[in-house]
Amino acid sequence: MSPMARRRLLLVGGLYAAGFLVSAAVGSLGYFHFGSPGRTCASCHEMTGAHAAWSGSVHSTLHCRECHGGSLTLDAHALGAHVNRLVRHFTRAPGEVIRLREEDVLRIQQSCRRCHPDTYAKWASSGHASTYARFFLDPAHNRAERMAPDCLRCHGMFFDGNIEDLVSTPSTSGPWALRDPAKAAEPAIPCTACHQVHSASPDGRLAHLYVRREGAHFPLAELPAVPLTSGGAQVRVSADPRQRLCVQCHAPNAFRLAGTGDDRTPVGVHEGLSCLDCHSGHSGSARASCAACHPADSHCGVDVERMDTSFHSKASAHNIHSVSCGDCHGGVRPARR
Amino acid sequence: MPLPRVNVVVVGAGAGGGVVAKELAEAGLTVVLMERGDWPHYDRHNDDELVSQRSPALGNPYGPDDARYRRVVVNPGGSTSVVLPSEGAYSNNAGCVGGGTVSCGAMAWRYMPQDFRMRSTYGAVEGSTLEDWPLGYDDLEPYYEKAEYEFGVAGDYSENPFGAPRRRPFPMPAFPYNREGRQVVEATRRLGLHPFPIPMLRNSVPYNGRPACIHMRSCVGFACPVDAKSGSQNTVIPRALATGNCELRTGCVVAEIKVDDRGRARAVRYFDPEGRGWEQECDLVVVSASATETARLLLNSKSKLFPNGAGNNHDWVGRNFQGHGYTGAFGISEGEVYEEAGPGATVAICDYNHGNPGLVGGGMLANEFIVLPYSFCDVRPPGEPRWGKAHKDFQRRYYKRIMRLYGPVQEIPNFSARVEVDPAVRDAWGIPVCRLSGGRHPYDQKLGEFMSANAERILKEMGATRTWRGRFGTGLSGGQHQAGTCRMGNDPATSVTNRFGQVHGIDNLFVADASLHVTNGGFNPVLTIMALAYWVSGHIASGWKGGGFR
Amino acid sequence: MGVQPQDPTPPATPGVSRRTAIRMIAVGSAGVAAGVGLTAVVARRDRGAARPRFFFSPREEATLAAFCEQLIPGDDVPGAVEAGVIDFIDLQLVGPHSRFQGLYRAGILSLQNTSLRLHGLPFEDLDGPVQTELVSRVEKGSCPADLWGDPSASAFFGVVLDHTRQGFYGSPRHGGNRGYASYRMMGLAYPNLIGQNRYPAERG
Repeated sequence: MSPMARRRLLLVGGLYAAGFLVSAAVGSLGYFHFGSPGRTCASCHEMTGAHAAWSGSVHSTLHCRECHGGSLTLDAHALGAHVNRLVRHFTRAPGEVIRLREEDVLRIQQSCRRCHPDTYAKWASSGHASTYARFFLDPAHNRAERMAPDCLRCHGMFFDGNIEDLVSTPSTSGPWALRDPAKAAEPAIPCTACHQVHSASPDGRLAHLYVRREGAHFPLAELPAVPLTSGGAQVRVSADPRQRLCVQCHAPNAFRLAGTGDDRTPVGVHEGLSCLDCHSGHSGSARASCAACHPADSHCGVDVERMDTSFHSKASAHNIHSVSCGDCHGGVRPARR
Repeated sequence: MPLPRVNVVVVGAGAGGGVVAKELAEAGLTVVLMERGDWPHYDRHNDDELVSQRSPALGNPYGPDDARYRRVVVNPGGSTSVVLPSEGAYSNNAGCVGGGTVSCGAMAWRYMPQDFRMRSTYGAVEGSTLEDWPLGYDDLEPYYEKAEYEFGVAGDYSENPFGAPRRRPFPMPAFPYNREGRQVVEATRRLGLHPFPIPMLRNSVPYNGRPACIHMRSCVGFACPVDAKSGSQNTVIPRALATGNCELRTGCVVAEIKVDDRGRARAVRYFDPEGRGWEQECDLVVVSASATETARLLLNSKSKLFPNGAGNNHDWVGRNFQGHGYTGAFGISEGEVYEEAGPGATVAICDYNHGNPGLVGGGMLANEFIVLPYSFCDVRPPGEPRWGKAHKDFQRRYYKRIMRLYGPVQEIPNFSARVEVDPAVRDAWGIPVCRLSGGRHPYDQKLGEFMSANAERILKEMGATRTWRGRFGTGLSGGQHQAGTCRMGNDPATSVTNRFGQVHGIDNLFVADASLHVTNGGFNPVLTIMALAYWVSGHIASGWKGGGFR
Repeated sequence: MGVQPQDPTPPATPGVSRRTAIRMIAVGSAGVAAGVGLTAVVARRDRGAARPRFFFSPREEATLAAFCEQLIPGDDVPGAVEAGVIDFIDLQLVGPHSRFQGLYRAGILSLQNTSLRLHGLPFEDLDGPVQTELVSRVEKGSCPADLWGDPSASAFFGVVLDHTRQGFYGSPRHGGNRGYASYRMMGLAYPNLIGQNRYPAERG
């Protein structure tokens, strides 16, 4: 055989071999892409926890790839992570905890939107849809506050990094800046802040609190009921477990005094109500909620929605979360009209 | 490639080094502040009890790490062990920007006037190097005040008749007593004692641009997630950097101070974060690396005139190593005393610091910081089972009913408790490591028993249904309160530096940390370290002639 | 199979003969088939091990689990095993606690041998009270001297007790304290409420 012919044979053979390997890889990824999770993703122990939770959740009719994307992808990060995981699996190296990056969380959020467009729209209209820019680039806030790791506990809980990686504070009095300007438009409290898609709650509830400190979701049943006091007396707090999720961020001060800090637990006439009795979970709106309990007219004959409270006007001195009859009636509860 | 020469190299960015860097940078000197660790990041380990500076079961969150650091401990029998930073015998202090001030409990004590005159107050103690400081409380008072105002201390001494005299009140009001604290106040008053709020390097109100404390359960051993704790990393170091005269080099490990043949410090040799070696030339060097590491650095800096290490011609570097024996008593309360608003320690008494009949010194007593569940496993009366159902029952029955009065006992220094460098063991950079040997002076046990008995008496008065006394061991003391290894004094034959922290015989080498402490008071030492650092810096700045120092 | 094998050779230009095209398709199909088949086989291999071990063998795990369960037994609140203490120790032994690998390997073997000699049964098969008594002997170091070298029985006990506590009371992020069981037992809330004291106490 002439050297030329040998070279040609080697080249052709090499091309066929490469073709075989690429085809094999595609076949392998294709198997994962289309196979059932039990035989593919979840056949590795690293995934059994997530898979078991998913199997017990309302989302068990959806295939992994609906939210996580399939294996047949050209996303270099995804492919790299798969390979890395495989290597760790077969070398029995202790795996780092498999956790979604914030980028993934936001991508999954778009999957939520596909199936739940109404709910998504409600959330998008609420304060909980606020962006990083809204939370971190408000000039008045920047002048009054200091950047701290604790900010990320409720605003940006999925942020990958330390607070110093998110914002820079060129001076103590001036405006802050986002280190990555692209973050400005991203929502800082995405769906998964309060929901776990792989919910395994016995009650089937999807509401779970994402706790940044642990890097894990906590079901409502595991969130503590926090006793509060007001004026030295114990506050009757609603038994609604969802309330426990709200209060984690809408929290009173360390002495657990109702109404301090960010706490909105109702005292006064509304004591004992759950946040969700008045506020819609996703939009946060409390409009038209009065009618759920009140006849149009109150005890004293005034239309409850027109009463001088912060429900009627933000400027009112009578906060709807703490208003009591005595606030307007000189401490005396009026006779029913 | 030589680095541009600077005026000052400060080694260690903790309580002492942060102050020195800021003071000298503000005085117009060019400063390089070397820190072996990094900036602290709360988010990396947040409230993890197993990676806490107080219980580093799985490592220290704010350094040093187990991978690169080692020490050798000489056991009582003479055998040696290699120990890691996460092990108690290592006697660790944090390694990060801010040092121990990032994660400490933040008690901000001034030593009392007698603490500077232990020898003249009490006379000699056999087998001890007990001595007076070469400076008095009055010398340090203005610097204590400066530390309180520049860092931020909350306190109120109006009910503490033993408090050292002060010209100005505390910059912030004291923290309120917690549930346990209120019971301590009532009981101690009934006993004729004088309870008062613990002064804290922690904001009780917004101060210096940082917010008020949010009362974390996990405070001592952890960084503060809102920066309410006043450490050098959020006070003096940012101010030093803001002058434009100070450069902070993190991740840089100093191996040696180069001392020339005429006995002057010329440069420091160090390793950068990539492990490359450098020499930084300078006009003067200030070492603020903690009592163990400062001694180690001096001992590792051998030169023609100081063949046994810088300032060590009389074999005093590394001697008189001390810390605090901690003791007191525990009690079980009839009802719950646990309060979720941390960090827990709110009230103290100084009735037993001095003037105890027949005793040398004493200590402060305070109620304790919240003890987290893993650490609580060791809170047990003598003889209590350590495992099984009894263990579990104790944990669930008494966790919220435990009361504790504890405090640091002023140690009686001894010459044989010491830091050396090990002839064989080296760290990841090839630098000989600390070798710790000796033990506490036996007198400490006597003081400890006295303090424990008093604490128990108070707990009984508080109505504890069951009480027991704490005790500390006879082994080497050190840890976070480590001190004494580069004693200041007027006689070069029996001390390492003069009263300004200037190493005898090397005019441009200074020490500014607890190594200088002749005695360590019956108090947490951090505010004294800061005050001394202001004192040392003041001396340097006033003697600075521009371009040189002598 | 809805996947088209990627063709490594240039697209079939008029210059490529029919035979070459057939050969390419054949190689591609064979590749895909091999990929699918191999993956299916490999994916089937590691089933069953819900919680894989990085360090302990099944025998070691059985012994250690019984031992740890004696240290913190289950009642109305999970004990060491249910709370994930073994998961914790196994994981940490290939991490921060790697320096204790030898101690566990040798200590568990000594414990197994001690149990066999004294009671003729593996430790994990002993009755509860007999286990308790043997753990007590290990704690005190009163075990057959020839069966324990390095570590000594009491040194082994001390380390296992400490690690069991770490796994039971530490954060779940390290593999133990499942569901914060120990915190619940002690009445300690987690996630505890963290409020901001820096705002004036007003409602909005």
